[in-house]
Amino acid sequence: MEGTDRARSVYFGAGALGLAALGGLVAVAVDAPAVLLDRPWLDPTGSAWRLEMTAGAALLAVTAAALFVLVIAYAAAYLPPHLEHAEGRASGRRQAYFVGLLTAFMAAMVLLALADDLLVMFVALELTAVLSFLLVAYDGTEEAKRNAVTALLVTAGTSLPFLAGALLLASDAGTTTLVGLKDWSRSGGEDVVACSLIAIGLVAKSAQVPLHFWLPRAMVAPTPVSAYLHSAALVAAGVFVMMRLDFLLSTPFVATALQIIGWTSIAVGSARALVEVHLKRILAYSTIAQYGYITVLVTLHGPESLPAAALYLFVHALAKCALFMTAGAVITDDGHETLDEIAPSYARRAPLLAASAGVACATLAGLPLTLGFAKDELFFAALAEGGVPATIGGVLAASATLAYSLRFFFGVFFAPGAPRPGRVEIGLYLPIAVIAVPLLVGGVWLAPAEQLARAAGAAFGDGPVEAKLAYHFAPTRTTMMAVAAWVLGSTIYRTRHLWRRTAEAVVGLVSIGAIVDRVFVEASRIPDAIHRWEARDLRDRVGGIVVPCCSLVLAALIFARPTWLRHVGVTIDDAPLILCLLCAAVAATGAALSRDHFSVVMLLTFAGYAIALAMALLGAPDVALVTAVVETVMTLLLLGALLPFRRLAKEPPSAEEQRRAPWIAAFGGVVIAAAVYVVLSTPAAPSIVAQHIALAEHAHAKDVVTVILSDFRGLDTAVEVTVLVVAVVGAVASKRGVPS
Amino acid sequence: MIPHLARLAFFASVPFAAALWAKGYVANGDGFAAGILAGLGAVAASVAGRDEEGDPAWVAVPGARIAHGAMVLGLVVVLFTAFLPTLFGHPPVAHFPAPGAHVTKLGTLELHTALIFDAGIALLVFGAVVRAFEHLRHAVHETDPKEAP
Repeated sequence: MEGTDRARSVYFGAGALGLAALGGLVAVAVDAPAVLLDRPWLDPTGSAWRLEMTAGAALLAVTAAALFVLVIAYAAAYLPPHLEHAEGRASGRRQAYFVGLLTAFMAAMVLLALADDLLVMFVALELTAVLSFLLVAYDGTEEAKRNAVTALLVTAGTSLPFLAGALLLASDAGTTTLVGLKDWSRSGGEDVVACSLIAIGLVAKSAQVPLHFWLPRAMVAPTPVSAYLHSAALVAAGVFVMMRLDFLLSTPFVATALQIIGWTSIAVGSARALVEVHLKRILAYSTIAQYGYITVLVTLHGPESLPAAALYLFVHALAKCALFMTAGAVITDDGHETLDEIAPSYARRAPLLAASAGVACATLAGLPLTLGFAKDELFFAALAEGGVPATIGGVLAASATLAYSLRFFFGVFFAPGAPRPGRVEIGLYLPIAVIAVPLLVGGVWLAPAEQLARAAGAAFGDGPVEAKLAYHFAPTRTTMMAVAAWVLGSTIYRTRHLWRRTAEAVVGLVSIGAIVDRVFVEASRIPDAIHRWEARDLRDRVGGIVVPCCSLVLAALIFARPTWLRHVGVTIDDAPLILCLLCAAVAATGAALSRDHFSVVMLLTFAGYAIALAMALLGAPDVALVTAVVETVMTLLLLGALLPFRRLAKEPPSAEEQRRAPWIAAFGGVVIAAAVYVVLSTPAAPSIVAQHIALAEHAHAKDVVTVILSDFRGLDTAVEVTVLVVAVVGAVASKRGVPS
Repeated sequence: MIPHLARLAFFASVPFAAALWAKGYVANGDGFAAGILAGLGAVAASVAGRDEEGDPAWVAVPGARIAHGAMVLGLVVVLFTAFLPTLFGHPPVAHFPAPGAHVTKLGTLELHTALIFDAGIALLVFGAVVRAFEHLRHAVHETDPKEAP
């Protein structure tokens, strides 16, 4: 009971935080445009921590905060039974972890919405990708982990082209702020390569073909994740940034490529949504198609295109969030995940859920008296300006949307048969009903949607914007397009029994996800073969590292042309030092020859202590102290690692290994000895040493070694310790993953 | 006797480590040395332990419960100290008070952000050593309890 109370307080706290964020954002948005922060960052790139609240930023930030509150309310009802089913108990800690991740995700989305700099956008996009990975893998099943990795590889991996594009632009324009880039673009600046790289990153984020396959796989995540990330947040981030960068992506090559990608995404997403039976995957494919609409709109550059894209983003986020929550409610209540298995007549079991989902489906399909009509009205108006092919494409796309919306709605709620007794948990459908209210009100009162579209469109673009919304009872061009889409969509739905099997066969033939999987499998054969040849046992692995590393060092020695065999004066005073080094050398040689693990560890430790003593004799007490302590710790760690094995190798080395090992050891030893000799016998550049000593005073330090580690080369230290943590966590996690 | 002394040595190593950390900027020592020394104290206390029957055994490492948290906290402190200045237009790992500015002192201890950075390093190294050893200790016991010394 105590755990339940704690979990409730976590949901309550997150909800309150979301409401506070929503209130704050709305308060700031009233005075938009307003620069909230503008601090220089990373001098060489001319970037800045610049956050600006505009109507466009408000569109995403307010939507993200508002839907966060509703998704948290939904998660409070969804997660406990989900965890009980999956893990046997609804742990309060696991729920707090989930809510924490979702809250962090909301913060990252708000940061992205307000960001007015490419590098700040990159940071926000990376945060969303990493948090998405953790949320998709939340259930911890093999499938969840595998699909989370796929999503991470695609969404975070393609951030690298985005970063490369941003840095190229920084080099061209001397800045990465959107204000600066707009000025540069207005003065004729153009970089097709940079813009293409940025577009690649955004295409992957918004799950556009051919980088869309991660989204249906990510449906393995708990439903609140899909409802938030995969409708209104993560995938919306890609198209949102496209709208923000409209002025950059308008070069003919990039615009044409994006338009082709957008239309292909509409076709692939719609076709898949029409034949898919898994509830959440229907919605995922629908999302791919719907963001295809926005991608196309961004590339049209008409006065209605950006207002249409902005309104589309907003309306789709609300409707799709509601539909994902609907799918989750039905799956949780019924226990089945596909249209074929859902219990019959669900509408009678959950009438309010059915009504709310009906409003969301109608909105998605653009039917009158819902906010969806407004989005389609602007969508059709923008496409009509794009010529006949765009007009026909728009009608076909909208008809497909209506068809799969009808299939989803009637398939879930009106399957023939008697309903199961009982009611659906109210917490699972109340947030959906809340979303349905603005969808209905916005469909009757069109003025707010019109103002929103115009203001956001003006904020995103430079040119004139146009957005007129009204119900026309005369045959205008947009009305004709809408009616044609409804007739065609209804026909597609009504005739589904005629085309379903053929469509399934055709769609099954071309699966980009399967092609990508195949490419990965085939491409990994070569490195696998090299790995099998190179790394048969521990000695081979060490050899595989020693030989290439020492070859590089040898190349450096040869090309750097050091003064070989520089004379080093040795006097009797150096005897203790030489003795230490000889002891270390003898111990190391003994370790190489020994086959008993305990002897190896002890000899290596002895060598380490000898080196520590040498450091002390050289007048470096810091290094000597650390070396001695590290050697002791390493001895214990090595003993811990090797004790489970009585001998280093259970089988004697093969004849080939016996032939190869001495050569590898001799090569490594000679090269390293030469490198050490050259480095130590070459006097250090006096300027560096003197500067370190002089600058130590400026850095308020008296110990030069410490100030080098934590100040002069502090960034190296920060990266090195990060690697240390990753290594420790990775080693522990990999051991856990190995079956005993 | 030895297990008690080893445990005592661990508790004694902590103030030594703190001293190494605190005087790092004015004398020999730094966060890494502090972390590894405290880690060694903890590991030594484990190695010198005895099981319930009084036989020599690697017992739970002191501080093992907080090791993971210490490691993560240390990493957060390091990254926070390293990259927070970038938000204000400074390069990464810029320490304050800046060169030439007045530094407040408590005795010989200088209040400087480099000390926070070093504290992060110390926590991280201590956590990593203890976490790694505790993991290996479990592996030794799981493999064959008789193999553990």
